[in-house]
Amino acid sequence: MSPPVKLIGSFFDSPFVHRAEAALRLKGVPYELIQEDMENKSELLLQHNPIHKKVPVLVHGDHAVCESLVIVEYVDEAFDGPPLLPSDPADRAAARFWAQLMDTKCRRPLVLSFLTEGELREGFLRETKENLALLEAQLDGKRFFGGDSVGYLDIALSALSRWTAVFEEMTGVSLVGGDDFPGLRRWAEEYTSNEAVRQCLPSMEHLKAQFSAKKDKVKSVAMGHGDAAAGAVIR
Amino acid sequence: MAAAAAAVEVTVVDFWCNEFGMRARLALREKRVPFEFVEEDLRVRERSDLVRRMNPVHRAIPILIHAGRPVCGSLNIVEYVDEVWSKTPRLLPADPLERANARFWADFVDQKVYDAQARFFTNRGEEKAAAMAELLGHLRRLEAVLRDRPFFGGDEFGFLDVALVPFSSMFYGYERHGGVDMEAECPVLLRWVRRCGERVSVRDVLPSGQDMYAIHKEFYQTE
Repeated sequence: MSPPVKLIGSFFDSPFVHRAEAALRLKGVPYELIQEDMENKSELLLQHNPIHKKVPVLVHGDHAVCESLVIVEYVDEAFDGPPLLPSDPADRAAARFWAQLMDTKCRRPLVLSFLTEGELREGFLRETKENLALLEAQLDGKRFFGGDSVGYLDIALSALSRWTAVFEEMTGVSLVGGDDFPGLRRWAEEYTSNEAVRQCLPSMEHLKAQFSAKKDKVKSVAMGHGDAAAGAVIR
Repeated sequence: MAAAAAAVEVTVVDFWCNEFGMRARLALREKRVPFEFVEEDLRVRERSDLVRRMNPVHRAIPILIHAGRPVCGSLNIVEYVDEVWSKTPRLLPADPLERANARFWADFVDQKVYDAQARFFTNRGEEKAAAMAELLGHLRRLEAVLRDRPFFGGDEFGFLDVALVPFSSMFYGYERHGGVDMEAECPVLLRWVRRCGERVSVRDVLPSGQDMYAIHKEFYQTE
């Protein structure tokens, strides 16, 4: 029998923690969720993620796995259940590519589209719409990025569902929920309706309350991180 | 005719001094997969038609093209090569936890080592010294991961070895540009570098420290 699984998350409903939870739920792996106060990090977190000191951290028996996408792949490989990554190597490479794009290129301008105003906002919106157009094309009318069922890339892009919907409602800015990206809009509804995913998705009300309280902090963190993938050489 | 077609089934678009691209070329050589190396000169501002077509999102290298289909992202390429040519010695271990560790530390190299290295070469004075201190800290963390094993992959050269060894070609640059005595600062890592240097793939792919330093001085416009 497999040793117990704990997931260290936070009271702030992070889309990164959600990735780990969605993977566990889709694979049918029972786990205990431990919520950290990120302003006051526990010994448990610091012991298991001394390098980055961030969540999520998956603790499986005595071993820790850090970094949300690494956790998703670990869950896919360590446990039985429906596969999260496609089986074809080229499709797997593509799924990883687009997942990384979310973190290195899409997330910052998306967040800042909501949190800035005027010309600054216009710039971030333009960039975000270009990114969303790429994803819309990648989805190519499919129900999920993984095909008929939720997979690795859907999980990786999950911030485009509930979290983006909350921002859109709070600011009146329309992106995924608008008419420009009908595939993504439908995908977001499908993703958030999925039985396994629903159980670890924070509610709209809960997220709204959190963003209102933490808006300035979220903005300053997002503004602070420059484009990590700029330049002619990619990783 | 058929042999020629098979020989160019795999192409790598890269520049000789690109540490990320070296990962792709090392993986292919370790797997004994013949490939065509198409050079993209990064000193030229405009990206070639080939790069713009094969990697329209980033317009960057390295790009692996296999049977006409592109794979982008150096670590994605290494995993792809490992998965497609699976009969030859594996680069990623079989155990899921070891795989997760290898991926975590390869991501650490990307997030931490590369950025600190760039800041070391582009900054001056205090900021330069701070960047080198940070960089050495990261390398010492990696030494702690290696411990007394021959490779990061254990007994065998593996995924994390492939991910990190290209950066060793910049160690000469650290010494010349920052007066760092790498042997004194990271002796465990240097032993590993020498062990890797015994491999044909590493000898064939990694440029000399002198050549790396010279071209990076050009890129970073340092004197």
